[in-house]
Amino acid sequence: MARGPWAVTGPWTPSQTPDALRKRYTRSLFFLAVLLFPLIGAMIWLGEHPFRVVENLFVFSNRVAGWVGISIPAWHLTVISAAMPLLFVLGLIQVAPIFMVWWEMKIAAHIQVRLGPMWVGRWHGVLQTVADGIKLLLKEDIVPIGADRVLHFLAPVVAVAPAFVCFAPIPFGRPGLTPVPLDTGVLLVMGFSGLSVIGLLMAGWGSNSKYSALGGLRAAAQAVSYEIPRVIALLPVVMWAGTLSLGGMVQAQSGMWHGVVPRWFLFYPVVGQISFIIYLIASIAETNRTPFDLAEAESELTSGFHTEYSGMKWAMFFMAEYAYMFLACALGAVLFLGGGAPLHPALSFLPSYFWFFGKTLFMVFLFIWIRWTYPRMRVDHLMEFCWKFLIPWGLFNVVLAGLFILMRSR
Amino acid sequence: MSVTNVLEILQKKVPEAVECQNLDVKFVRGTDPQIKVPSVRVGAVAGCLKEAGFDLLNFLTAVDYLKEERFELIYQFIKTSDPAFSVIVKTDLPRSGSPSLPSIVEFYAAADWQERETYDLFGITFVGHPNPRRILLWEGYPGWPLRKDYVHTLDKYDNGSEIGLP
Amino acid sequence: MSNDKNPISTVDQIPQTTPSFKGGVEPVGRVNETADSLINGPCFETKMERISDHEMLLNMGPQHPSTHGVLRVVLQLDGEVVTKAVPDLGYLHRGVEKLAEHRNYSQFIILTDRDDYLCAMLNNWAYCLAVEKLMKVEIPGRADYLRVISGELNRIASHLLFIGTFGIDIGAFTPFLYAFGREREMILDLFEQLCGARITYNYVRIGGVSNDLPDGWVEKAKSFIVHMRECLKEYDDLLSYNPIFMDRTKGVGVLSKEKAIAYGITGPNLRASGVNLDLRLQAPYGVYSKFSFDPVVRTNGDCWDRYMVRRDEIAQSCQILDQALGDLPAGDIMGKVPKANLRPPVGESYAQLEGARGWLGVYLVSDGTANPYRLHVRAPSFVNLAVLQETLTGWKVADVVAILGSIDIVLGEVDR
Repeated sequence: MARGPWAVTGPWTPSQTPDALRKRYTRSLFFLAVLLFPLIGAMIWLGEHPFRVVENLFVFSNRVAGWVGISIPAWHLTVISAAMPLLFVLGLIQVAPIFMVWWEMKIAAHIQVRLGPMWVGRWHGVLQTVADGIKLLLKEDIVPIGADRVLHFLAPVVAVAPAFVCFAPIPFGRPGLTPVPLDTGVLLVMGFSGLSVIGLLMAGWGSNSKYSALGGLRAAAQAVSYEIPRVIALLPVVMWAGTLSLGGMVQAQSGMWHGVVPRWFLFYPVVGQISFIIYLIASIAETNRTPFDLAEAESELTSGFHTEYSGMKWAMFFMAEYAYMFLACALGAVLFLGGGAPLHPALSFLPSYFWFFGKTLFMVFLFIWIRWTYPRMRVDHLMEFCWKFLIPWGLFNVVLAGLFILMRSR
Repeated sequence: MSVTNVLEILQKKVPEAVECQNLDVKFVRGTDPQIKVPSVRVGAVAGCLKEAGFDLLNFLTAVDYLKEERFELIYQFIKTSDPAFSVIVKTDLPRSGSPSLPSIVEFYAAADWQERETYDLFGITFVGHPNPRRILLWEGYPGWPLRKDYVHTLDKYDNGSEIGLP
Repeated sequence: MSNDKNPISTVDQIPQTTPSFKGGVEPVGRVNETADSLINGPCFETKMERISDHEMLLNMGPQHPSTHGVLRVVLQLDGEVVTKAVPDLGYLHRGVEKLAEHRNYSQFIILTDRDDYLCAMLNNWAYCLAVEKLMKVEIPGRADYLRVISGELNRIASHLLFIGTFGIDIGAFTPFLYAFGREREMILDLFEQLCGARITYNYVRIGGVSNDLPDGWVEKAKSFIVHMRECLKEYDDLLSYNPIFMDRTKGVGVLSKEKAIAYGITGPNLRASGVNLDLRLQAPYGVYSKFSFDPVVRTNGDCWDRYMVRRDEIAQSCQILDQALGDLPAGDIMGKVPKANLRPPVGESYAQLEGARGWLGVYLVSDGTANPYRLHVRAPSFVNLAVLQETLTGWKVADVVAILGSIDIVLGEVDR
């Protein structure tokens, strides 16, 4: 069917009339349901067995060894089951950006009246990010003349490495599913995520380029400033739950208020909402996303602190951004949206990790949605917004939370 | 405001200003009033017109009349209160030597870049310009391209094939 | 001179034509760098000022995602604040005015397309007005109406592109795809049906226009205008009244009325500074006197006002188009003009019209032959850009992009 410009065929091409669009979207939703239904069914049926993979494998391999006549020492199990959660975290940080980048490209495209990746991977370009990753691996690694080679080399590493540590104390569902259960989980996450600023500064200075230097300085100033409202927004949660442990916070958010509203901190009157909003804004600023992405403002500084990076090093920065975004969303889900707690106890046949990932992905969607809607803030407005708006409101929020807790204890 | 009004106002300060006569019966001029002044008095003319309310310098350019051995510079002034009426001021410069005349940047900031462009393309020097440099071509470019007797000297941007070089 | 047979293999083989490059290039060391010296290399005539220790030179362009073409601006920065800005033009200089002297009058219309390639119809029209003034040609009514319709549609297209790219400069990526990728594509499709081209039209000819409207074009244009009005509301929701956008653009790059007039600024930039000057209303050309539309003027002269003036001008153009499409008379589309060997009488003329960026004028001197004797294009972007030197000082690097974007220049016109 000939599809010429709209002036030839009519105000809309036949596949773009509102009716046709409605039909297309319902058809896509139907396909999505068909795809997701077995997946969710499998999740419900398997429950938490995937997390017991190692144990089950060990039991099975013991049985096999019994048939064959070998015996496997028991300390293998302890070592592997200690390493498994960490390997899981490592794997998650590799895989999550692959999905998130694709998802971001699709969401951005649909917001912008276009389609996004469609070719690579047969169905709506699912393998686009994989292809991009392979391309980046094969790219030439360019180091500018006059760059400080050590700093230039180490900057991406320092930017990414803390992310791996930060994922350790997060409960991926119910408190038992934490890779490394810690009593001071929140403190560790906040502390280590601040280390990545050093990576940005190293990148900015080590590249021997004015654009990078400006970008690095801006990024450092922004990251350091916005850590404060982020932590201040978390204080009411800590005060209310009475513990710094993330598993404990998930525990405190289980159940319902009056049987109607889930006991998530988001639904705590006034304090929950203000905290969540401040946390959301501060996280967007920490992860250098629009409207706070002046560190990598393409139209002003070409690429900011990662102008002079190519190939895998640039991919590391990219991965760092998405890893920290995932971390911020996961933390937000755990602290404000109840972590592994279901929407309603009746829905608890769905395993807790389904709820955790669902809430995390919901927050990721919020991040992406905000990115493609708002323009960018100027650096002094950004600083002003942090110090003169977010922090006072955060502190007021803490005071309010304290008052509520005092009233509750009376 | 008509031509005679403008001429009167001008002639108070610059008595040498005259209305452009038709040099040729068949010469079709635009309908705007055109006044010819000697080149050295351009500054005074600009000042006078600015006081008279012509606050917008619309354009400033030059024409190279090779046969008559002169450059003719054209300035157009417009009143923002009545843009339909504009005044064109013309002045002649001899082609030989290094033609120069006073700059009117102090009265009209719009003349800044337009005078630089005229210098760049014709080689007319504007005395008193704060930034007398080429604007469109690079510093050190040989020659003044819009002159009728300009011959292009080959530089590293020509690959020469159009004139038969190997 | 190098080519495939004799590639230049050493530096000595490059012809040394410029005195300042003889004997090798003196390296511009960091100590003596100034914005001026960075422009022209070792420039012996310029006084070398020593910039202070805490200032930095930043070179924006010519390849840059945001300078709207090949414009180079050398900024002297004190931290984030600009202390001096020196624009460097000429990267797109193609010598259009010299080329005019070697082309026929009809051949030159194509070159006008490429001056301001975003509103090429208006460029064509300005040049044709100048030639027609000289030749005293009568334009048929339908041709004039078609010129107005295509000119206003092109103005809308140019302003849509401005909205999109200004949004990107400020950091909002999405309005670009709505304005540029949806509405402007519709206009370009209309033009493609009309004259076969999407950007450089060669449509307005001396004496009239080249093609008549195809069937159903008027209905499509009307449906587009209805759609455009709805989309303006969308842009307002998404961009114009967005608090972040307003923070970035309100109060930034204020251009006072007196400064604007002194610099010869015209068009939307001047109207944003409070001067109600629109050639279509005060000195109408073509059939503009038959249409009634409201002037668009704002008083503050900051970036937001310049943006809103252009956004409101889209609505104004829709108003004009409604009237023009409704009253379109039947008739010829070309006046009595010789098809070949066009020779205007000896003389000169100047004609200008209200372009999308300012007053676009053509000064034409004819000596009776088939080629113009002298042709000067009064390019609004060139004249408007001069104010950049003064306006940028005191603002931050982020504002440089906002201010440059809001002046809305097209490098084809600036450099010609």
